[in-house]
Amino acid sequence: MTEAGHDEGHLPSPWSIRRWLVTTNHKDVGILYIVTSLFFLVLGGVLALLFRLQLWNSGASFLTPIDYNQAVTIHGLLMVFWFLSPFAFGFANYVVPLQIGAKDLAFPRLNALSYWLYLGSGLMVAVSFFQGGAFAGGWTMYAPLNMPINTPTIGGTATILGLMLFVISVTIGTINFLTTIHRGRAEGMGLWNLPMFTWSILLTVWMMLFAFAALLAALILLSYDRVIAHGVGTSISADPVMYFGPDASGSLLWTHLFWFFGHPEVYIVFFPALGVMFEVFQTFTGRRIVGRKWVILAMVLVAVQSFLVWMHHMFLSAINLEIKTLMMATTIGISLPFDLMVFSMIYTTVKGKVRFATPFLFVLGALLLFILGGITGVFLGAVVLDYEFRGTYWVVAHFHYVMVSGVTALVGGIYYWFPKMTGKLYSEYLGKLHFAAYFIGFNLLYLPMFFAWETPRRVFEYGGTHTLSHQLATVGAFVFAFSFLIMFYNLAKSLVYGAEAPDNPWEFSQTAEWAIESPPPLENWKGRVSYASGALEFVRPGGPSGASDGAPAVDGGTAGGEPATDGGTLATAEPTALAHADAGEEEVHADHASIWPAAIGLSATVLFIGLAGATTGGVFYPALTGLGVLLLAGSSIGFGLEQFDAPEADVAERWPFEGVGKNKLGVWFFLASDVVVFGGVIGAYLFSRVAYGWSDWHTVPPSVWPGFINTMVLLTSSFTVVLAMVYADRGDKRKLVSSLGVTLLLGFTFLGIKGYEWYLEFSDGIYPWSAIWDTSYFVTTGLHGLHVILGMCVAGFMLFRAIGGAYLEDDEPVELFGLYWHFVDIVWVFLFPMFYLM
Amino acid sequence: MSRIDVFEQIYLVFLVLGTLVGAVVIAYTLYKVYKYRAGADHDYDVGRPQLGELPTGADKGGRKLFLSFTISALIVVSLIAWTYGLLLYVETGSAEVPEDGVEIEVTGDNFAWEFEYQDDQRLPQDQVDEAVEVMGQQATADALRAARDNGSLSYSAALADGMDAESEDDVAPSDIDENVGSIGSVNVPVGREVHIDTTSGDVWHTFGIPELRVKSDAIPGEVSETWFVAEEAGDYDANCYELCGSGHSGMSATVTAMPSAQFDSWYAGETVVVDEAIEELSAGEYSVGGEETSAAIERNGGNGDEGEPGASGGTGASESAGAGGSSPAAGVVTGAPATSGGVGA
Repeated sequence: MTEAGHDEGHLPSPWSIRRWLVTTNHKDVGILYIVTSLFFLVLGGVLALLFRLQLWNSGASFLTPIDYNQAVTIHGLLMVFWFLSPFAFGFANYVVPLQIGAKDLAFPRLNALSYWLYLGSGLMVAVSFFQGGAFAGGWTMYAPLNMPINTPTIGGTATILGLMLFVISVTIGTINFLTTIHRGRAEGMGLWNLPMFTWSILLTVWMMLFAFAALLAALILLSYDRVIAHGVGTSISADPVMYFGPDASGSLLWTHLFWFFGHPEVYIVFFPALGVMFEVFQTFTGRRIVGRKWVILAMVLVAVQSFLVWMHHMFLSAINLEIKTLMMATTIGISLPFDLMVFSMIYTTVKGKVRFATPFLFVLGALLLFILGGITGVFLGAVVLDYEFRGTYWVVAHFHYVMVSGVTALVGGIYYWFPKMTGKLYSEYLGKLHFAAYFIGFNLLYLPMFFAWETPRRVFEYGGTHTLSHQLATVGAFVFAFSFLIMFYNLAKSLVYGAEAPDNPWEFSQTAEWAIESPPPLENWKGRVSYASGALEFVRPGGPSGASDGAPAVDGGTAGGEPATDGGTLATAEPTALAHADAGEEEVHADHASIWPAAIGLSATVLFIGLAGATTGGVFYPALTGLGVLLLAGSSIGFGLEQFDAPEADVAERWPFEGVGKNKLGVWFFLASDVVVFGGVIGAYLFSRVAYGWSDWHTVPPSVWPGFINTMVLLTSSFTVVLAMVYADRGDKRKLVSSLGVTLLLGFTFLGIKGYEWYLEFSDGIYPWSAIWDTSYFVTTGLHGLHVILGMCVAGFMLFRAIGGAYLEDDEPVELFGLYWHFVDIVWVFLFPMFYLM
Repeated sequence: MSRIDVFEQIYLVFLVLGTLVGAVVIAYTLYKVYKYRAGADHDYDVGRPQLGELPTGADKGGRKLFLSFTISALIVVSLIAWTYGLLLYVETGSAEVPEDGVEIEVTGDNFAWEFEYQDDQRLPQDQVDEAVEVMGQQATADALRAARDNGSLSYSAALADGMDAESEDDVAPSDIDENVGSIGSVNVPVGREVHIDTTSGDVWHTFGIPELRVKSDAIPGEVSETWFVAEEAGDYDANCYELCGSGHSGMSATVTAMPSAQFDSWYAGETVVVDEAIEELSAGEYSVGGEETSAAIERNGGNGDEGEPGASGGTGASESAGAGGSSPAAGVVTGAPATSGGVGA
């Protein structure tokens, strides 16, 4: 039964382009992510085919060395960042709200914004090939190869800035998912009761929050090195100093920052696949997950421990034996929870009713591949073996086995959820054919790499003994790639000609998405979901209590028990029987469309493209930068002024954040991420200083006083922000406007004093790139200054709105701004002693 | 025990165990999914997932899970614990260069590997010869003595000072070779520990000799220390194992392992002992391009000094290494001259 009526009326039809530009609905955004990520899969895959052709035999000259390095680098970057996680998050977007009983994510416009930033960042990377050559230093971007002198192109900087834009997209998405899962669960669904896929996404976004913040810090420092220190510094000083240059162990600094992010990242890309594996194992074996609680605990353990193992990527890099031993222990420690999870899946099949449908074939295949990959990882965890495997194809084969086993599981996910998302059934025959070609191609591609393990990584020629293995791998690559064509054909054909899919095509499925239509209506269901009775029910909004009305909304479910009442609401019949008339006045209406996310996405992309060449590329790039700033300002204001309702359910599980409002929780998550970004940048300062020699370091600001006065200025401004909130709460417009105004004034004072300080320092020939201590000082306080500027943009916007009478009814925005502003002040309270007094 | 032995031991055990465990687990899994396939005519009394139920775990299977988990955990942890002993062996082995060991600084730069023997008892003969030609024997002797006796004055600085004064061209310490060096190839003795201190002159590289199972990262600004022993003579390839730019694939070098005596002779031919040289220079008896007499080799040879390649206290033929191209001048050549590829006395 299709849902016509006012719900769809706000959104254009799915067959129009406009629909996809303005939609904020989680299901649409999910589809956008899936389709776009598959595009990047093809792009990254074609690059791989190119260099596998180069590797057909040693001495081939199919690609030039620098083209080869670009292909290898961008293949890695695209696959890890622009394919794997977005693909997983396409499913997360679509399925998680359905599984937890939410109508959408907590911040639908931000969700759309994440997508557009993701698309823009990926296009930046694709375009970077044409800007003198894309980055060519490996996806790990080691220093000092990542220094502009070694990888000089604008395209190289564009790749890096594209990655930064991607990280911003991810951070916004992370905040969204964290707030949604923690505040939007249906009544009766405690955290323990989350479905496995949602659990995996929850842990993924927790890891993302902290890991990507560390990467952002690294990218900020690298972008400073490339755009400012090199772009501006070389025209002023003879030999500009850079963060990741040879002074003060810059190479090791990058390695630490990158791998602190990089190791959690591999679990970030794998966990959603793990979630899919558990869902599909449960459904297609017809058994509940064995040891479910322990599996969840194991996943939590991995998520935490993932931040404690990063130096196992650095066993040969001059770190001391004690640390190596510790990292060896934590690395082996982190493999153990995975053992538990693998065995859980295997034992779930016992006494099951296993059906070999395409989703299960892929997920079973993923399990077998993961077992192989995991075992080879233990080899790498033995430090003495790692000494020899370092930089060889053993590592390449290992991580492709584990990461592409994740892809395999997610492909199973496509088949699993395709009927739900499209309302059509895919062809089971083509699906099985796909699996056969895929599995053969996969092993033909990656297994020979173990035999040719002595080949160094990232070489385009190799010694003659391993030619056969490499040739098998090249053939396998093409078979593997071809198998995806089968999938595209299957899905496209089924979309148009496939049989109609029922609500629930899978016997023994458990989660809520299978209890509603295929595809679900725009707002998923009427009323709200509730598990209060111990089973899934759809509760109508409002309505008199007392009259009971049929069984819980479960297809072919358990014997009809008493309908549950919980003081005022009714259990309804199957969702398909919900009548239109129920969509009454009590139901709060949500918005689903906004053009501003796409506008901001476009503006940010223009800005970042411009920044890549702003200091090295003629007139075009600075012009683009200026245009980007204007567009960004305009679309941000449009976003801020737009009236957009994204109401929360009245009744929901919110533990442990019951007392915190939705928006405030989002701001807290954002600040947590920002803390880690500053942690990374401050950590870089500490690392450089220790590496250089703590007492040999210079204090840069010639006098303490400007810093001290600025500290007082900021602390006062925190006070005036609190006043603003109090006055808003009291409805006193005049005093609200004045306190906001004074805050703004104090902010300008801070920037003015800082600007004067910097002016004096520059006129003494002290530039950020003059010495390593100057770099730390200017960049760290500069990043803080950027936060002040952004804060003042928001404050200025709020002042303007306050003059127009806003915030007197609802002072939440002022309170939230206050939180951000206090954070900015607290950071300065740390920076002042660090850079002025030590 | 060489690095090869260390690696082969562990690798074999891991490979056998890993293949075994992998085969068993995969076979078990495939067997189970086959046995419990929906088509088979069994109906077990177990709870099955229901649509809309609150997710809970299975009623049975926890014990088997724990058993399997514990066994696999024990296997993994024991394996790694066992390798720890060998890790200590490798790491502590690199701490000190033994008396008969050779210490080489390896630098990755510009897609090439540069090698420099670390030796504070000897200087390259060519360098001393050049100093003598520029400033004469006495001045050279004075410079060398000053550097030897003053810990903070390096040989290169001392020689550079003197040569700069005498020569029309500018001579800086960086123009002076304190150690025997080469690019793209290096000689090592068979059966003795070779310690390598690896660093980089530009970007991150990784130096590895696959057949000798040794690797070391080459990081600019850092020095990584490790060691190896070549048990058999021959030529070994060294490659770069960290992406370093467009020349990464071609960044190779050859490590030539030669019998110990032959190595000592070759090295002796390349160098002069500092103390000896100072004596000879002060007495005006230093011979430019001359070979070390066998008596001198005997005097300075043996395994006494750290870092100094010992000579085979043999009789007869001394070696002319032929490096640098300077013809033997006043030195007496006894016995058949041989090239460095030849057989030592």
